[in-house]
Amino acid sequence: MIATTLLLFVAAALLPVAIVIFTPFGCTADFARSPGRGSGSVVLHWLSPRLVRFTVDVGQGGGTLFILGWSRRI
Amino acid sequence: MREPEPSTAGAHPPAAAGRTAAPEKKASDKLDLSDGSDESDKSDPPASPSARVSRLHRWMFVFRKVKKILAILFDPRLSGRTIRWLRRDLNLLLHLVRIHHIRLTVTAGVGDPAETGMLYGWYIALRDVVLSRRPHITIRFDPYFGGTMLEAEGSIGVTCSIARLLLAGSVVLIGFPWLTFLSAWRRLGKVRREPMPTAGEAVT
Repeated sequence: MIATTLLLFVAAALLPVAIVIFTPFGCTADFARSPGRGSGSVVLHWLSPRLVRFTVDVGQGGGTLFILGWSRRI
Repeated sequence: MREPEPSTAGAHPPAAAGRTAAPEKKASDKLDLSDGSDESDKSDPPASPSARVSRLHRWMFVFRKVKKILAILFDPRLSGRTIRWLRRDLNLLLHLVRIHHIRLTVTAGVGDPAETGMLYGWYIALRDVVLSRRPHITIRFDPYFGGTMLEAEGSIGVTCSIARLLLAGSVVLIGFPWLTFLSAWRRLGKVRREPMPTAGEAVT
């Protein structure tokens, strides 16, 4: 009984670690270019589909940085 | 107007003065900074021969260490294992980052319809050969015969994971032929620092 409880506790403690370790991280870069205009974005994802998102629009000038819902025009 | 202080600020210690002159030099530097006088324009004295010899000696020691490590790595008894280990690591590195997808759509025209048609022909010829076995790579080319134009749109996604990084790191560490390396290291002997020549010997 005690062994089973301990095992359950250990499994519960290790589960978040396993989720963090095995969740893939990576980035997706998109770009589009047409005469007189270009835009691009880079999205970093890990545990969240959009952990960090950076977009830039050359034709319009400037860019926007999104980090987990927080956004700022740069 | 302040009068120049009769201190050792202007007189830099001679180059070959040795270690005892170092604190005086530091004090003079501090004075120069606080005064902001013309003395600060003077450049630092050139490095003494003993300092140069010491630096050369240190570099020679590093060079001999590197030479020894290279000799061990390319030792006939170890080189086969080292090359196998390197090949395995390279293979791991290539599979560490996975390409999730590559998408590229290009609409282009070079002005001359004939040349645009030739480009499109090259694309059609290469498309099935290169891309047929890679479903996650999509490259599309639409010719534009009406003039010069370049429109492109694309996306690339790469993924990795901490588990994969840890696995690769542990394979690199565990897979290295440590025992053979250590035995070769002991066989070749320890690289020792030779006694430093004195300043007089270095000048002569």
